[in-house]
Amino acid sequence: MTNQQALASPRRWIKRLIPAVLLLNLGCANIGGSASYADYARTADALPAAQTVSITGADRPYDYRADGEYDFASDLAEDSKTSAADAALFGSRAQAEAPPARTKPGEPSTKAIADEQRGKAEPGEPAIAKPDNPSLDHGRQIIYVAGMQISVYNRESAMATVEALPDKLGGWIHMRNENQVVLRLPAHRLKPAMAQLSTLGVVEARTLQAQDVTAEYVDLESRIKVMRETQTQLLELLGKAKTVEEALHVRKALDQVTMELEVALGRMRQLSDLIAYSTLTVTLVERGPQDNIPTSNDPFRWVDSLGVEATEWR
Amino acid sequence: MSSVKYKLSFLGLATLTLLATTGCASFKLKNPPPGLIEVSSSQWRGSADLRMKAPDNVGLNITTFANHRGGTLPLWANDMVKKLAARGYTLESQTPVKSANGVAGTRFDFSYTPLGAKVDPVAEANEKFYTAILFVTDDWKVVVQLAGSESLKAAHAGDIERILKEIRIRGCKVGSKVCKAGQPAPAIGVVVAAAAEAPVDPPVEAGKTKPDGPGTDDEFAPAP
Repeated sequence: MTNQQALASPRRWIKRLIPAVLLLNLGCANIGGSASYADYARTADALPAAQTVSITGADRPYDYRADGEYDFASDLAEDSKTSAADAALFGSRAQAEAPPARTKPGEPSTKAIADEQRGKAEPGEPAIAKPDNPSLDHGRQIIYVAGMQISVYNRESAMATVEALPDKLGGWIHMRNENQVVLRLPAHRLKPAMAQLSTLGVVEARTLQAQDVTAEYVDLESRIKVMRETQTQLLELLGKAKTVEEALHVRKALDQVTMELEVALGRMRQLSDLIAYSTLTVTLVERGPQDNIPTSNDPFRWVDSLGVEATEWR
Repeated sequence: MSSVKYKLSFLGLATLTLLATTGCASFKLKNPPPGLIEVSSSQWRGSADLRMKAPDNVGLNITTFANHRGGTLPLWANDMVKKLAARGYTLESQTPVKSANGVAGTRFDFSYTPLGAKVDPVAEANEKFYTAILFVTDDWKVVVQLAGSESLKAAHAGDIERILKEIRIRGCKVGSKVCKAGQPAPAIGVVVAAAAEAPVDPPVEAGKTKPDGPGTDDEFAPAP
């Protein structure tokens, strides 16, 4: 029995050692695989930094609209013969109109971007870089749709205040009826506008919906880029055509590409508008004797139905 | 003969049922101030509500809430002033008053600018006066509210006096401690009108010196 135990003991040790050896091997494999992590890291560095469109206005120095808008100047220009010139113009204008890169004064923006990407940005500075080439900066494209229902004392007076808001904040009235106004306001002004509107009366309901359209935006951008290149190439081919048949053949393809490009540009314009300008629906309800105004959450809410409104007839 | 008895007993039962369901109103205002027109009036099981309106848009509302055990005039007055203050009402004065049948109450005069009026260019036109008189009995809290544009406050100053002379409050029981709870302490920073202007006596109990005092059956009889 003692001999059997003595014999069994090594076997037990071997059984225990096998998993340890396997673990060690796996560990070695991981060490060997560290290069792949480095690759991932490099890939992540190479990607353009995602940019968040803030509706809080915390990043006020950054002009949001320029991010959300597409440069349509070149699109509106004549396609034929000038696409190359347009492309050059597009590049230069984009550089000129691009929002100021968040750099230290006096430093070239490219360096700042590189620094920020390496994590060298100073504390307090936004960690998000704005590349010089806007086509690389896909950012986070979000469409905001908000709604407010406000119980007001005097609806006409409150309606006048709501209608004056777009003039102050740089938007416009999309629709108005007896007790509802739909406003289109710059996205970064949405939150201040909602705060201002809440002073009109008792806010009964408040909604905010965010729709992320980054994927569609990036896809459209890529498609437009490819179609532009194709268009340029086709125009070159058209210039080189020797026979009428060749020219017609190229022209047909060129028309098809132009049509698809226009559709994509139209959708891009629509998206850019929705991203740059949020939609805020304001519904005004006139308070009357039947409307309680909550003052507290205690069990005795009798005071809620008292007040000037209780003496009104609306 | 038996059919007559049956009919009489049925009528009596119907009358009793009607009385039990409708009850007596928690307040009665026989002669409202001139110039106020009744908009609506309701009464159900003692709980009553009266709304009147003047052509200049000054409104009167007398409304009733059930009282809870332990609820007294000082307690509910404090509750009312605090909650109205939270809604932007500024208490200007606090005055002890009594109803036509001797129930003690407190008059509160507030000034108020409705929410949103501050952003309105014609904000001054939106400033309101709001007077609330609170009576608390064993059964009810009765609130008399008069409100309108601040510029009409002086024109309607006499309305409250007239209402106080006419209104009768019901719900004080015999030997009631609620109706003898006294006046609320003046709110901080509030100008309390001189007590001499409106001396407050505890309401007269039923069956004692004044037969038309609160708690008696004929409590809506004319005051002496």
